[in-house]
Amino acid sequence: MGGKTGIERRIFLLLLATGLVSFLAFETVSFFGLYGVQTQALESGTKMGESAAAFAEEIADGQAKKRFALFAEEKARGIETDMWRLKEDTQLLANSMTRILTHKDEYSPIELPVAGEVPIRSREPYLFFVSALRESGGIEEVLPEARIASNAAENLAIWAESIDDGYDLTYYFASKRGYIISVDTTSKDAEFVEFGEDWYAPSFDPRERPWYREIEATGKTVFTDVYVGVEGYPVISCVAPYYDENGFAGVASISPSIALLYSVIANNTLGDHGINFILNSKGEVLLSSETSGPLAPSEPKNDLRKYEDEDFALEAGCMARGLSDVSLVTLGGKEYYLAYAPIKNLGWSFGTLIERDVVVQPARDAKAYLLSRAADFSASLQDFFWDNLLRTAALLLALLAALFFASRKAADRFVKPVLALTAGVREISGGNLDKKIDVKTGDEIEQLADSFNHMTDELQTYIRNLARTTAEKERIETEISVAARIQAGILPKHLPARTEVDLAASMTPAKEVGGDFYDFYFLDDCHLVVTVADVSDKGVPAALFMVAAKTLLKESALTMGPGDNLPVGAKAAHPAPAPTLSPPWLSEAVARTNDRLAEANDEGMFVTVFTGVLDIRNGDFTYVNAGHNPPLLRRNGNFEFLPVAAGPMLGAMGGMAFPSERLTLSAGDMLFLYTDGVTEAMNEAKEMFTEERLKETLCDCASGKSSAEVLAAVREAVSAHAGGTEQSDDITMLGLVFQG
Amino acid sequence: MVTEKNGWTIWSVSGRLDRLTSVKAGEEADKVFATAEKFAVEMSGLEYLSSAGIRILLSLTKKAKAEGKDFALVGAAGMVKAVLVETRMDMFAKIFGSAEELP
Repeated sequence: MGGKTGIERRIFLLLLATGLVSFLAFETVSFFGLYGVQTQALESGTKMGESAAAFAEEIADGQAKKRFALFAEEKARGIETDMWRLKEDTQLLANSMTRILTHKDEYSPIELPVAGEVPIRSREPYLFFVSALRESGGIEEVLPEARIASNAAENLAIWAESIDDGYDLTYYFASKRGYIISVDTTSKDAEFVEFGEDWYAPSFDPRERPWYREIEATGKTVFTDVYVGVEGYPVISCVAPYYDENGFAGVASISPSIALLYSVIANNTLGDHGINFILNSKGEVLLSSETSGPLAPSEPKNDLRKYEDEDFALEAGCMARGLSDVSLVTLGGKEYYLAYAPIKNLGWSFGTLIERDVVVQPARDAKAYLLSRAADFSASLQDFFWDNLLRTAALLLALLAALFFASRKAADRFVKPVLALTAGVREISGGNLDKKIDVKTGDEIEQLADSFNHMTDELQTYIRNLARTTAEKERIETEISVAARIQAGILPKHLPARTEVDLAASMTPAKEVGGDFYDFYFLDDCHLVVTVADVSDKGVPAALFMVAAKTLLKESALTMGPGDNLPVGAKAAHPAPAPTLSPPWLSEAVARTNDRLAEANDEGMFVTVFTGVLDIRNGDFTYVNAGHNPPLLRRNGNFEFLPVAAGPMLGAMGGMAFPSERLTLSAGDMLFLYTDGVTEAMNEAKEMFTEERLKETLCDCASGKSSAEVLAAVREAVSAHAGGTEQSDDITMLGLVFQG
Repeated sequence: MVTEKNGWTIWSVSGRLDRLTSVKAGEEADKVFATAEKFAVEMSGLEYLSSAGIRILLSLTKKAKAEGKDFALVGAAGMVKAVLVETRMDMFAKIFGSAEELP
């Protein structure tokens, strides 16, 4: 843009700025709009995800509780059923023995294999004697009854066959007399029941167990506590009393492998995260899906009601009391749902513990999913946002480029006429007034150009007029100066050399051509006419009037002059005798001049005249004053104003009379005639030279001075008075010394 | 300044009446003269009267004569009176010492 003009650059920048500002404003609004939408979407997406997750968690929580409560209830009831069936079976078994022992005569003795003597097969009934019996040698004594009782083994066998469900199972009748009839089934594929030192150790004697005594005393069917069986599994036994004719005779027991129960407990429909356990009425864990930790069965047993986590301990108390509920407990720093239900008859409680995290995990997953979706949405929105921003930036660049060129073009287009105008004006101001500015834009610039064209036209006209006027003025000035020269030329220069008079005259015109004049001429040999006059006003009219006045005055004097009509030359030839001047002729000559001047004097011009005629032979001086300043007369070396009878000025009005006066000059007398240009000459302070000063100046002159010298002295005094002030009026003087 | 008295329109002129001031003064006098029946120029405030001033007065005199109006010069004193006397203005116009003396 370096080469562009200022105005073009400004227009360009203005257009560019306007475009940019509008675009930026629009973009800013849409940017913040989009940004707002994006932020809002992100926020509400996150919120929605969170509330949905919380809702899902709540639902999951509620459903989990219901589910767990149901689960605990079902499990408890299942165990209850199993145990009830076991009890029934055990009582049936006991009843069958009671039947045999109370009807011994109806049965034949049966010989069963005796454990310890022969190998015992699985599912094969056998006879066993407690060590106390063996040691006391009382076997023979109980053998007959044992062989009758062995009839019950058939039932046992049948039972064993029917109940066999793949788990270890032990049925036995334990007589109070020390013999035991038993059937073992093993889950293993072993053909024989293994009797090691551990199993049925010689020390095993059911009669010594606390439950045995309890049954003997109460006649109730009881469940033993869980204990670890010979095969390493936890075992529980159901024991019921049987009788003979004498009363209590022993107990029948079914000891299913606890594996059955265990499977019930371990069978966790809630997945791998649940812990199922059974608590007895003392708050002790009987069975558990755990093998270690606080919820695993242990020896000695722990009372969970005194567990360190108080809320769990509290719930354990509720379980021990046979209540059912679902609640959240903290165990080892983790949150769990604890659902429990009582197992009636047994005084146990089934509980299941599920980690809360696991339950709410789906809800959390949902939340995470929602949040991730919200984040995805936000990300895509953000992508869109940035894409949009990028697109906007690209658009901005393109627009900027377009705007740049368009603005440039527009500025160029706008400025072109201005440039043309500028160039045109420059050319015009350089002096080419013929230059026409050609701008056709139809706007103010065209108007301006038209104005300039009009101005140059006017200027040309003006210049032509000025040139004409100047030429005219110059011509007039030339003519005026010619007129002034002519005027000056009209004035007489030299008097014929006569000893009788010493005459000097001068007329110093003011700047313009003026109206003063002096005149002197001889009418004949002895009559000298002197005149000083002052035409009112100045300039060409005054000059013309002056010429007319001078000419008329002289012509009148010549024609009406003294004596007859003798020519001057003829008069000169006859000097004597002196003609007698008829006194009125000068008056008449002046009056005639006045009449002539007054005719056709519409301008109201007039001339003041002092004119006189001197008879050089005798000094007789006749004069007429027509409104002029009185002259000064030097007599005896002293100047005095001549007392004159004032007459009207010439040209003002016709028909006037101009009386003449007479004076006789002596030798050495001097007449000083002047116009008011002398006495009214002004200095810078507008002070006039005055008649007094004139008189003083004249008086200061030595009496022997010539006319020329006197005039010079006056002129000097006047110019000394005026100083640098421009002369405003003609200064005319005429000095006449009569030599006698 | 213009005043009226006894049917006279009195135009007062003051200061200097010379070549420089006479053009404007003449125009003013013409204007006042045109509306006047009887016209008087009051000159007591006049300090200087040149031939150009005389010409104004003469011009007014001629017009008054042509139109049959009364014309008078009043209040001239000093140098002005001397000029009037010198130029015999009394021969063209009535001259009174002051406006009070106007008939």
